[in-house]
Amino acid sequence: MDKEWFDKTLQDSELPKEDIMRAIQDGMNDGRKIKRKNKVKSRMKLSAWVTGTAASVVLASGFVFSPVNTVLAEMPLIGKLYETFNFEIGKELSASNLVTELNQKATSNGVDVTVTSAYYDGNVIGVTIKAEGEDLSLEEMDKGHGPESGYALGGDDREQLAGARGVLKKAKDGSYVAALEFEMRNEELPKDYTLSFSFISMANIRGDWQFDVPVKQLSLEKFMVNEKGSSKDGNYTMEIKSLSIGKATATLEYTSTHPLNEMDEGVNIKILDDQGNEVSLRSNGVLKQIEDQNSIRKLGEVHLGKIKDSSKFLTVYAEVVKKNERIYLAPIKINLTK
Amino acid sequence: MLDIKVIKQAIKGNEDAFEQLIKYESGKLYKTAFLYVRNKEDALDVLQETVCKAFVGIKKLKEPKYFSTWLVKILIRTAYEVLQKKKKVVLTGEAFIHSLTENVYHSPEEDLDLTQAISNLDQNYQTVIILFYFHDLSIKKIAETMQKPEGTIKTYLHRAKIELKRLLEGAGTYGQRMV
Repeated sequence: MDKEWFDKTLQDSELPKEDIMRAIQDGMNDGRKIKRKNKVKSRMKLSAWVTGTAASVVLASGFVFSPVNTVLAEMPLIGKLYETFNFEIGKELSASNLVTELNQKATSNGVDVTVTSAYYDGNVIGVTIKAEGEDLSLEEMDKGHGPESGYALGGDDREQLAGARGVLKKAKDGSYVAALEFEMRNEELPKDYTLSFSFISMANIRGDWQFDVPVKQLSLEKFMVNEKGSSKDGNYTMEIKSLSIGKATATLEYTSTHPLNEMDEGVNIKILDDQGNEVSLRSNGVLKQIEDQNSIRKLGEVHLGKIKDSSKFLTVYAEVVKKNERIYLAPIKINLTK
Repeated sequence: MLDIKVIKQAIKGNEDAFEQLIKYESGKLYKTAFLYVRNKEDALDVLQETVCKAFVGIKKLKEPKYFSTWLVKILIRTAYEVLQKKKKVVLTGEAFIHSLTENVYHSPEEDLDLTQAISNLDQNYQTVIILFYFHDLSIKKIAETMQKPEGTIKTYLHRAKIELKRLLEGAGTYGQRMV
């Protein structure tokens, strides 16, 4: 059994040339379809990312606080409320007295819903609500189909601002309370803003409760950074443009550059302060994508939790995650002393 | 020989370059697919699927010089998938009876058929034989393609040859020696 014999034996079989050419064309067409689908998918990923964070937080908090079994001991103070819901930003701000108490009430179908407090820090607006009414009940809600959080916001899901929606909880006085976060996503955040939202169901009662809550952004300190970190081969670069530090939140603006045709990879970011404490990451997303002849540039925002006041600098570690490998970029240092 | 420049263009997303490369390799690809699946329709399916996968995945190919082996790797994996799927197909009615009679009637000539013999080999042996004799790959390249140590490939090749010889000589199939 030598090579020539092998070749000769195989050469005898005839090639269906036309069929082969057709298979190639069909294969390429299938490939084009998949590529197109992938592109749509990655675009959808960007928008789903926004609602995704909201949904996951509702799920997570639903898991921790079962609305039926736990009843709040008393009508809690706002700070206590954020603590119960484990909303870090609200907790932090109420500890520093930066949450404004409100009493904005709307009534529908015998149910009063009151916005009891609000804050606006960085890109996050938080409100707490209280619902009172005789027929309110979480127990009677259709668990399979009712909203996970115990209430539903009005309007198209896609038009609502993303953010965490705390699960409605029963207080001892018979009222129901919840905390909600709304995340603004604009390159320029307005200093003054009126948050409009409505509820269409509240603890098993349908209705229409509308609110326009005026909020003022807590002071921000913006650092222009303009520092870069690249991969060893220079193919991937991340440039941090600025860091805006609010009272309990922070936002990092960056541009990442990738070789063309590499749409799929994501960028993981980890940030440590000068003490080695990890700064909590709330979300990381791409706002805009620009393609030129050789590369793709993505403008993105990373939303962070509280950065300690005493921090002198932060170090940003970024890695590009591809299907089978991780590419580390050189760490980027952000100086916080002015 | 494949032109590295063309491969680079294909990696960058040039569809014409890609088509040119695939066409150049098409004969070999089809034959390789045929060695695995042993009929024209399935071989064409494997080819189509391979082209599709390669078209989508070529941007991830880092070393242009490995284009050929990379393509064969995809083809082999796809062929395995097709074979695997076929195993799961439950035949009923006429098709079932046909498949039974087909197995019962096994002509001695068929046993002599090289493709038939190769298809009777264990999958690892199959691949080694195909890559070594048909794609002219070195032991080292085969080891890379199959992601196994070179020593293992040598063993596979040795055993595959013995096994193939045995099959071609008819021994062990129906107890009759054909030569």
